[in-house]
Amino acid sequence: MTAAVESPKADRRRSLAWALLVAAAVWLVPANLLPIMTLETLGREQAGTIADGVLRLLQSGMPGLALVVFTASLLIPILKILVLAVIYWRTPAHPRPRGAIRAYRLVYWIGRWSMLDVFVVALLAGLMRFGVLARAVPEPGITAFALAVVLTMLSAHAFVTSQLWEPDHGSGANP
Amino acid sequence: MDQVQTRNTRWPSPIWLVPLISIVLAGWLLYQEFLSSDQTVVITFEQGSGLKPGVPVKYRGVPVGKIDEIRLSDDLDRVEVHASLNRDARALARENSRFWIVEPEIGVAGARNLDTLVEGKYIAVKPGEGEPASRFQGLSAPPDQQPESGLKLTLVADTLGSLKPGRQVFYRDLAVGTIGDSQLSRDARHVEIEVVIQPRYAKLVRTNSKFWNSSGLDVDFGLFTGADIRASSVENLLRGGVSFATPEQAGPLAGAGQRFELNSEAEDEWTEWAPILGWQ
Repeated sequence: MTAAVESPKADRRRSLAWALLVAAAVWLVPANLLPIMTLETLGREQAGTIADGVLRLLQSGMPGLALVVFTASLLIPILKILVLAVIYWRTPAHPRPRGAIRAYRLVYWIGRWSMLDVFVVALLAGLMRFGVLARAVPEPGITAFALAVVLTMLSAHAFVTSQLWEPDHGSGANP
Repeated sequence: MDQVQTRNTRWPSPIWLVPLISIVLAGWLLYQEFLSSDQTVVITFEQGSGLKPGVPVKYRGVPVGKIDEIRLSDDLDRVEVHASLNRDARALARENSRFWIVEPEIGVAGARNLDTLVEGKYIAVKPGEGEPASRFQGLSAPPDQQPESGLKLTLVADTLGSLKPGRQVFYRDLAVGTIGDSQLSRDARHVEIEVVIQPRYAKLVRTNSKFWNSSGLDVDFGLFTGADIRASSVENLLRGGVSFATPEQAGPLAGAGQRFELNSEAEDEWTEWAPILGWQ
């Protein structure tokens, strides 16, 4: 509808950002449902999803750590995608410079910290190799998680930030 | 003049392939994990000591599944082990498949399954033939020690000695059968030992065969002859076992459940018997 008004370049950037965001949201589903890592200790296998890890921390009496993991690994990736979606959705029509800019910057900055889980799993898989005694094996869930995080970051990067403070950019002509 | 023409293509930008491929791949991953889920089997055992959720099910020494949970049967008589087999191992769950618990065995004659000392017990499976099945009776001993097929005989002995279940029956020092459970005879004067001869060796047992306890040493000490020590084999000596021989004039085939006397030692001529038996 508004494609005729927007410049082709901005349109392409917008659909790029949207497409990457949708892909990130898709990958978030297996990331949270599939096990991210299998811990093998003395022949016992224990595969766990992110939520399993949080529960296990809670049960072993570490509520603080459980809260950190819950926030960093479960809440923030979902919130990031939601915030970005809202920003993308509202910006061309209702530019709200201050709130949107702040939220966008926060999401952009926090993006790099979301790879923490991936690093933990990668380090454990590399370091915990004691044969039958203990072993950590990465599972498909962590790949999905990494993809979700990377796609979110790419999407935030693809978004044309100037839309945030140029109210008349885009479909401002629409009455 | 040149005109810049913008074309509104009917097709969305190719970048939308990224979410599309993501949906396909993520959906496939989820399908792998949940919908085409593993084959679950229920195995009932009399004893479940050492079993825990997460304990592997192994076939040929390779993990093919693991225990999900362990419950008691409704009558509290048995232990129900719920296990899941990997997709590639579903063919192992067939009607005649055998499941048993592998535990370490340490004895004078050697040690087996020592890996279970470190890794704990596990469930082993021997695939059977027949229709796919999901409920199984677990065996209390490995199938090669199972007295379930073959020729069943009863040996009557004065004392049990070291003839525990799982020990073997030898013909010319070749293991041809297994010793099963033993019980006191009704009048309490003898011990009745069940033995099972493998089906392919069943024809070696005739009604006039002689059985003797071949565990232990046979020491003859004479003043002029010196010491004469006989033992059938070192393994036999250490583990205990039963041997049998069939006379030159072999009688008819022994039937199932036939009773034989178990002699405490072999008479000299028994060991020299070498009848020609078409055992195959």
